[in-house]
Amino acid sequence: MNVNPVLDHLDIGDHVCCPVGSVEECWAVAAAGTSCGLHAGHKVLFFADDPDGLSGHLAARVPGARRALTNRQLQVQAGAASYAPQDTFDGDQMIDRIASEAVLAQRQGFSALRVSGGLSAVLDGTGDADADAVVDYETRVNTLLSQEPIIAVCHYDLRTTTSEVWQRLVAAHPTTVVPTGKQAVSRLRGLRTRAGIRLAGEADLANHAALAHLLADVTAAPGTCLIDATELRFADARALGCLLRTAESRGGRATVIACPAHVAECLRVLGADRIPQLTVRAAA
Amino acid sequence: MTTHLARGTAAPFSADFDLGRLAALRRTVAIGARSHGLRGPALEEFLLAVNEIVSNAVAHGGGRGRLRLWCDEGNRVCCQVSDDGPGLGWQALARPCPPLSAEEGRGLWMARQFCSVSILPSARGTTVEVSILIPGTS
Repeated sequence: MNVNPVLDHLDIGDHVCCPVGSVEECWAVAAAGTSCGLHAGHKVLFFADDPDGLSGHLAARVPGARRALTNRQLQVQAGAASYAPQDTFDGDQMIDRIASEAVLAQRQGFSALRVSGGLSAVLDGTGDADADAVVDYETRVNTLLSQEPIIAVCHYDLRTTTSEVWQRLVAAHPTTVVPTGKQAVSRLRGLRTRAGIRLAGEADLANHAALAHLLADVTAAPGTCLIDATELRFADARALGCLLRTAESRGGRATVIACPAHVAECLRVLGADRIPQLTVRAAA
Repeated sequence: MTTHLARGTAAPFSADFDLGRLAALRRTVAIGARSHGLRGPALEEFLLAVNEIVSNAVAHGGGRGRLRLWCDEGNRVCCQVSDDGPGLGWQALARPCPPLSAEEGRGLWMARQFCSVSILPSARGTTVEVSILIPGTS
């Protein structure tokens, strides 16, 4: 199958929720990701439920995959052992794991780490506690992904995910891409900068929790915090409120929001002028 | 409802939506509104207003709904959003902008700052109509 072209053009900082309906679909997405990752000189790492099966599939389908498996540019590891070593999902451990894999990838000379995995096994047939833990992990891992050269693609099996959990998972990811679609459900990238954060894409109901977390990360930034949203093409009312709340919560410290003119106008309507330490700079 | 086209050549269209189609719907509405002559800041304001009504339907109106877009004889681009949710009383339009500390609840207020918004009586669910005058016409 041909996968959504958005998956062929992911960039550093992308954290993607990818709903899959079958193992075949999951592997097709994995093959496309491997091809892009190897071509870009990234390290490609999978956490898979069936590591041998996926390795075989990639070796057979993706040019260069066999060699990459040998020289460790491509690695397929067992998912369950990584996600739930003690039978319970530990988000902190998972975040530490991805962080150390990113360091390792850089040490090995790769420009970025492209990591994919499916956490459906954690959600499968279990209670709300696991769903809460996974949503919480997907929200908090945005901090790491906005700071390190990582592309993360998270597969979720729609057949085992309730619609309520699904909506929360989508909102926790800045980007959601349906493999059978032609465009992204939502696409937002947040990259930490020395002065604050750069936001690009669209902020709406489909990524509000991710945006809130990314902005919470810069609340404590020392000095003047620059929220560079010049490439933020769309911000819904909730996202606009979140931007203003971030500036307000920084107490007496200055915040600059640089954004397109229509976003600046919306911020003004919502009362940006009433936050003295905030400067909204509209791009021409 | 009139479906007569005062401007543009695009026929009125309708589309079903859910969370997965929110961004795509914005692009479709943008294309439709532009074909009726809506441009620049007015287009951005209309898109934001429509997005908020659609988001409300997704978040509180049962997760999905239906949208219709047309241009009326008075050079207004109009959009009707219907859902099968628990329903929204007309009083919702009188609500003030919530304080900054509130995470949500400013969508409808925001839409009203830029567009005419009305809640239409409907047998079930909620139907909201958003419209904006195409600048330079009257």
